[in-house]
Amino acid sequence: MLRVEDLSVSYGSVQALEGVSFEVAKAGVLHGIIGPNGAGKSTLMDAITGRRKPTRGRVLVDGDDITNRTVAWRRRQGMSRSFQRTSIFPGLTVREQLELVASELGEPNLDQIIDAFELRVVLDEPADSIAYGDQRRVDIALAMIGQPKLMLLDEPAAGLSTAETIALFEHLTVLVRQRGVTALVVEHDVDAVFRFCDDITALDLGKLLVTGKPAAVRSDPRVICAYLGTAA
Amino acid sequence: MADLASPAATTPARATSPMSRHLVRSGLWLWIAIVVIGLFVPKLLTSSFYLGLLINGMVLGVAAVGIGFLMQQCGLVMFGVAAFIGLPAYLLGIGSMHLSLGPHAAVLFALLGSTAFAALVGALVVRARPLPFAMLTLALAQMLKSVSTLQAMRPVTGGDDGLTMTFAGGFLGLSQAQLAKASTFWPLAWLALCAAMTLVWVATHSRFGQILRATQANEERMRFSGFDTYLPRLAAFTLAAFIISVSGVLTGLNSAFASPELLDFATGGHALVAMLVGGASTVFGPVLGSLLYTWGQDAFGATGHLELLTGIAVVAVIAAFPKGASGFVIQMARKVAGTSRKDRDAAR
Repeated sequence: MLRVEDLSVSYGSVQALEGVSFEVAKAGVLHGIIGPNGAGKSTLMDAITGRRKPTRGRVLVDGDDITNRTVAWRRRQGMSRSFQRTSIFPGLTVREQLELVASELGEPNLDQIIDAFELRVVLDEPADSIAYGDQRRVDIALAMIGQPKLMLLDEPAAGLSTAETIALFEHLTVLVRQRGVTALVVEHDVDAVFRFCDDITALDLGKLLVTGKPAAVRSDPRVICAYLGTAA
Repeated sequence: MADLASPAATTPARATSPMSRHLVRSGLWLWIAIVVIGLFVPKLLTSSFYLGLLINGMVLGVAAVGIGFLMQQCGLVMFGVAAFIGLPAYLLGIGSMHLSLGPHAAVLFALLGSTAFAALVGALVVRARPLPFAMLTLALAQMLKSVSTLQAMRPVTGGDDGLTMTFAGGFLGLSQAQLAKASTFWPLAWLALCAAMTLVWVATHSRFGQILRATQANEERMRFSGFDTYLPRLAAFTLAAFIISVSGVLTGLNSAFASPELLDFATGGHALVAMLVGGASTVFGPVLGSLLYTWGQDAFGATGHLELLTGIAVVAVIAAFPKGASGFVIQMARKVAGTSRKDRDAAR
């Protein structure tokens, strides 16, 4: 499904990501990306989605090298993302922006997405005037449009309560299982990641620590060291 | 959250309501009525001086509508407006005087040439951020002005003396003398302005306009939603330049003259300031601004303190009405509508 090979990204002299390789082999899984602040999680998302050009390495989707493809091309091929800082269209109503993107990507089930993210009550409000939690849901709903094959969600639960976070992850789990969507989720709430994700990749200081099943990652001494400062 | 996984197809979220369709239809009839009534203005305004002043405001308004469209939809301010006023005026003259084209062919040549030039230049400049974009277009206009006055171009452009035109035949049934006369030129200027306003209104309310506004609001999200953000912006720039070019052609037809002054920053500056005075949030804002500006220029010019009084007036209007004179008119209209609604409710 998704293979990342030897991916490196640098900002001037700062090496934000260094030689990261991992694979999401199966479709329809929830794959978590964890790591402390500055681990390179968002940079990894940026490099996979084409927002930032890697200095080295490749990104492959279903065996095709997409490293040099544009962001818009990747989106039309089924790779979508949401952002760490909510990225919506201020000035447009929720309805206008959802319909605009749906018409571009040929989404036949927009009503389902609207209902799934409980946006019907704010549909005719300017998106920048609704509550932050609602804006987050609009952001993720925008990423959901067009029946993507691969969704990259950058801290989707940021700003949400614990109950809302659990509801969001439960929903994502149902989504990936039943629709065969693969979701790559960067999330600070590691409890939610360990609870809901099928596989987890842990990063620290731009390097890959470990990738595997939640239990294996949780007990990996390098992960414990990265989070607690010392190996258990 | 509700279940998104069930595969049942659904109907679109909202169809256009009968009420909004009714409003659009009513607005369309009102607009057609205004266009038709406007044709009879020379019957009411018999002074050729004031009619000429009004025509100047209309021609300036066409350019201001184009500038306002680009600013409102793309957030781009074009400092080099003069390029697309002067170039088509020169092309009209070159077509008429050097290529022996008839007036219709010369107008077509001028509009197509200027618009094609805009598309070519736009391909380079619309990638720039707003301030570099503004300066690049200014540089373009200044460059064209320099070219027009080159000694080597004198046989073509007339150099500093400008290019005087003689049309071989009439344009839309109007002879050269009639094109120069306010009362007979009026329908052409009026219909061109109405066409420009209609074009901008349609573009603004279309999917194209929505894409432009969304791109202006969040270009990155647009790209991450699968949109090409470059071509729509290039199309908007080209459309704006086309509309401004219409203003240039009207100027050329009316005066039968193209001069380097038309390519000067000051020419575009008038249209820019007029647009700011009127406000760009509605399609009639730039037109209102142009009329006010033209009237102001005449009134202030008579005092002998044109620049000083213009400067004071522009600052005062922009400071008092941040959304322009049209914003103030809309605000007042809403207040009046709100008051009369309250009165009706109280009467019940």
